[in-house]
Amino acid sequence: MTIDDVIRVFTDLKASTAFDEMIAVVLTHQYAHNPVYRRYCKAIYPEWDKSLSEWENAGDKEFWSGSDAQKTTHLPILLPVEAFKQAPVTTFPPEEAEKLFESSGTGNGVRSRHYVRDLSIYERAISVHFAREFGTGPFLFASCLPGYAEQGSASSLLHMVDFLMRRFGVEGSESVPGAPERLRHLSDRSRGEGVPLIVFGAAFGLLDLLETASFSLPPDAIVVETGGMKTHRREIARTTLHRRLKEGFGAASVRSEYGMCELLSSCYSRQGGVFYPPPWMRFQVVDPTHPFESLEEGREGALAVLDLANVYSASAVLTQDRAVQCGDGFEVLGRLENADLRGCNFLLKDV
Amino acid sequence: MFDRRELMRAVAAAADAWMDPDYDHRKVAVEETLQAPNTFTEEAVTFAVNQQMSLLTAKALGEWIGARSASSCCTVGVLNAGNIPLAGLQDFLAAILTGHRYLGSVSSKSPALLPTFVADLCRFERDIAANFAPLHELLAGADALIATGSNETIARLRDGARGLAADDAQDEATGKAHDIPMARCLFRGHSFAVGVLDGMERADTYERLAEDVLLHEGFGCRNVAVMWAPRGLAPDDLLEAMARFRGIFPVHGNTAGRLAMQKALLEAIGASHAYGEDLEFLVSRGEPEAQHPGHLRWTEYDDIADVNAWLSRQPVQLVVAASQVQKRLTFEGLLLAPGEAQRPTLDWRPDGIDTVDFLSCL
Repeated sequence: MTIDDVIRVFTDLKASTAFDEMIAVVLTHQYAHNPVYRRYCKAIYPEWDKSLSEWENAGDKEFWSGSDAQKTTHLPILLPVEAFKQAPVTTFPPEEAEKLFESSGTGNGVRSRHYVRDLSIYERAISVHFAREFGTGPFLFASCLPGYAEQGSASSLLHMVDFLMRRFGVEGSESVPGAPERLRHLSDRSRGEGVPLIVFGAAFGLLDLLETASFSLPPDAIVVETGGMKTHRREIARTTLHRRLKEGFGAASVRSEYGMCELLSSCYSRQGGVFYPPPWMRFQVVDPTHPFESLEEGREGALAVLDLANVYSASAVLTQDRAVQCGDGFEVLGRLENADLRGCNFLLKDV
Repeated sequence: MFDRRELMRAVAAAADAWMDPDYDHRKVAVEETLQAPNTFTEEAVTFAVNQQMSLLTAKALGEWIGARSASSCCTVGVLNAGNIPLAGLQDFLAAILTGHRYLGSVSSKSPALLPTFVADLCRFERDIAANFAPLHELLAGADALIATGSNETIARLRDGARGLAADDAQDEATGKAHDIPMARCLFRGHSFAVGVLDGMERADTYERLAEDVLLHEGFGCRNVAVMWAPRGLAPDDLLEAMARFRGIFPVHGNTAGRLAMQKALLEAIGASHAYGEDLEFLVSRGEPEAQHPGHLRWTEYDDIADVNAWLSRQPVQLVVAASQVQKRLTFEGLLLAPGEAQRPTLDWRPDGIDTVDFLSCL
């Protein structure tokens, strides 16, 4: 299998063995062509070249979890997501990127940058997974992403929602931040025409809408919150957020999307706060200070992912999200900032 | 009615006993602490216990508490963090000396020091109302709460606090974490300490700064995580002082493993960095961002106004700087001399809030 084969078929992936083969090809390619990843691997594990060549002959320990079950035989070296803030993480000259995504920079102000060589890979990954989770529609979309508009085309979230609206939306889908009457209009239209309504919104964008009014969305409507829990107010717990969204949007179901500019695949929750990755993405919860040590189900740690859609950047990524594995999915508990690691924090798992 | 003067005498007597490294209760507690899943070293634990106990004289306790006292006794729940040896001692003393009942949590990272000291204190003064309990029992049994944590942790605790906001109050039956009114909660967010140099520092100042940076392996909100230096100043003097510090306070066995990933990332992105032998510390140049524990960020400035502007935007617990530098800083929080960051005084106010004032107003 070649890297071009992986690019062509990764979204058709069904068998876990195929994932294992593909990720081996991708990581070998990235080691050869991504200088940041190669230097990182060499620095942390000088024998990595040898390890890569022995990939298929390694043991049979189950390290990675995902929605379609799976066994991956190796624990790859995970690039800390902070690398995207510090240097171009690419397998190609960054100036050849078709698109540059930047993080929103709501944390300490330094933005991550993801140079995307082939936007169609990203669009295929998000549309195939969206269709798996929600169907192919068509849908009436309402987006509510205040703040992200300032980022313009650099926001991967805006690009994703715009693309999904074009791909699966009917005419009249629109952006509704600060315009409750527009959402009401879309809700009425959804009822009248029988076209399901999907509301994509950042947490505080949705809460802002609910401050002005409450809504009685149709029972088949879906509210998808995309995170953004601390954009311009105090932090809010996800359980509290979902409670308020359910109260404010009537009969609609509430789901969550997990994504970031550094990853070209995203995950959706189905019920509760558990996210499920697409078949071409695997995850693991690891000890944040010793990421070669995976943690058993139920224990809090850092979320690590393998994302085949990141074929031209880095597919093995150690995020800064605190997470816990729940069966084939994971729950995100919050951020794992360096300041948190230093400070006098405790884990509130019993509450 | 508790006799506060008697209580202070008991605390001082217990502390005096604990000043002896061979005192049985202290020895057992230290041994148990060193076996817990933490990053404490024997030298750092000894330092912390000696430093904290040396403060606890009857006179100093009297001056700290003054006339402040609770008008009515309640049960104060304290979620102890445990990242630093004896963290939570000040909260415990403030609670009992203002006349409240103390109900603390025990951190798995530091399960023995504070509970053993409290138990030992009860031998000196039997009427002390102090207990430890699991988290859910603590939240169910406390009338007031002191908690330190990450943004998410505090968010969850805030959402469980009655009276936070009008819409919260509508959700009484939705499984809140606790039912303690907001006005009776003291939440402390995460923070870190900062050092500021002007290039005029002498060798002994760097020695003290090394302690501020490296003691407790970079953990704790009083640990210096970012060092501002005038552009062009070489970090060599600080690096040498850090290496010498490691000769006195050996590195914890886990530190090198934790720093290996950080060092590899710095090498991957081509960032300027330096590290001690066997990776016993790590320093990197770059943007002023707190890094992982044990990794000091060295940031250069051209104008002290830039440092002041940055300090005003960050969750900075305290700043260490020589007196001539302090005069140029507009930071409104705690300003300390080099070498004082890891030596909290009795009247230290975390996040600028006086714990005794909070407790005496309950």
